[in-house]
Amino acid sequence: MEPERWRRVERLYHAALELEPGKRAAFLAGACGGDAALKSEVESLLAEAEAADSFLEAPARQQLMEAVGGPVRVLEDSARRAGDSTVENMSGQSISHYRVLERLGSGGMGVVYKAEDTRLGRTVALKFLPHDYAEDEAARKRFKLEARAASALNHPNICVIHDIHEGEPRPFIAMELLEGKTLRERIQGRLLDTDALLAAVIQLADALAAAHEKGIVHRDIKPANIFITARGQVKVLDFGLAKIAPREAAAARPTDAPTEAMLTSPGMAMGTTAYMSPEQAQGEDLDARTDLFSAGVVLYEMATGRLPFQGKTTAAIMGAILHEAPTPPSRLNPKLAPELDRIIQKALEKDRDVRYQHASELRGDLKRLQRDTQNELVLLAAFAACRLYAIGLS
Amino acid sequence: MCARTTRRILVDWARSRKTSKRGGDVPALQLEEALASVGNPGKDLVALDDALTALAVVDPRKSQVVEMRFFGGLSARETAAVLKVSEETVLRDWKLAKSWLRRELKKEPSRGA
Repeated sequence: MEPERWRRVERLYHAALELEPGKRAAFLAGACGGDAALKSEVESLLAEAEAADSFLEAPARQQLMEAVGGPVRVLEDSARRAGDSTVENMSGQSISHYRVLERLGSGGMGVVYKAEDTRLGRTVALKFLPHDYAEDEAARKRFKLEARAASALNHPNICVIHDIHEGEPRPFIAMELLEGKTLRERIQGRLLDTDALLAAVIQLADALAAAHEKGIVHRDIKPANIFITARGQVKVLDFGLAKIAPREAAAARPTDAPTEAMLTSPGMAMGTTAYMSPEQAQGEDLDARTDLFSAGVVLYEMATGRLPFQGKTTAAIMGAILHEAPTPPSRLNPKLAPELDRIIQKALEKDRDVRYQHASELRGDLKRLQRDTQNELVLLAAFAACRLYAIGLS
Repeated sequence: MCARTTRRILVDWARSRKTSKRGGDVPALQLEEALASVGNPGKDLVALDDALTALAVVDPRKSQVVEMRFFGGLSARETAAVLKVSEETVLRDWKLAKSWLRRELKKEPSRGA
């Protein structure tokens, strides 16, 4: 088409669009004179004008991102922090060879402070436990054994335990100081794409594989116990500590409101309910496979934004864990890769004999999925790079 | 222009996907499906690429606008800055280009996908 003619088409197209649809035909008839070809050219473009509005509207990059499976919106967690007020402020105190600096927050088993190890001159985190963390001598002994075993775990995705202090004024655990956020904080109302999700859960599975190999079961895998450092490295917290929780606290508390079920209080246990395995809910003896179920719950929550087993009371949540099949994740997030759907469902098998048997098995499936989505992610990176480049040129 | 590189990468990728029906490890993603879901009349990326090339012959700037906005992900304002035209012009180009592309895509209904 001649440039001059194309400019006429363009002018007429935009002029006609300014008019009400009913008046366009008359306008074109007049404006095109006897040029039927010109008129039909403009008319055929106008016929597409309305549909064109939504056409290509989302950039390819965004469509690709959505097609890959994310971003997924994760539920806003309205749970409040609890129990902090019952613990006195430890800042400024010196305990053993530690100088307590500032409070970092609370989670898992207790309140965490930043502290200086005056002997080794390094900065550590101290987690103060409630006085009654172990009710009797047997529990206390078991705790020491567990903590000792956990401190022997040398794995990049497991938070290192340096020391245990049992005396006054308060028992505490000295551990690696981490900078970042727990998964619980991380997923609150934020977007998590498949890439980030897989990267996190693969590291979690890796940590579990290493611990299980040494015969250590975590028993309390949940977002509040999964730390993500500023560099994106996963650190599983509180290995071996769950066992010292008073048993009664873990048992049914029928009046617990659902928000309370999410809480991470120093006494914990309640916050654990939603992530419990069926065998845990029934008070059976636990093996490594309980952690794989809990990891499945975490994965489900990251992928769909909601918990697989819900209820208004702790007892109702446990009932769901024991008897109800969760809504398939893909129904809540249709963009989810079918393979991820399968992995989650296998981790959430109620019968531990048909669940994933080893963390390495779960890790293998996740890594395969990661590899298969990697090709798509390279493209995403290309989009991002090009966008920056193009803006830089302007 | 870098949006063009992106376009080439993506389209080559879509082409390779169409020709080689890979085995069991084909990732779940089908960009074509994603495109179809936002109102693309059953066309794949390769057809869009061909249509865009045809548009470049008629009106190079409009083709560039689509390239930058769709493949490059630039906003209208960013596109205007790169092309050194007004944002208004970009929006008008964008609108007409999309009408033109849709019409073009309807012309050849079956491209073997």
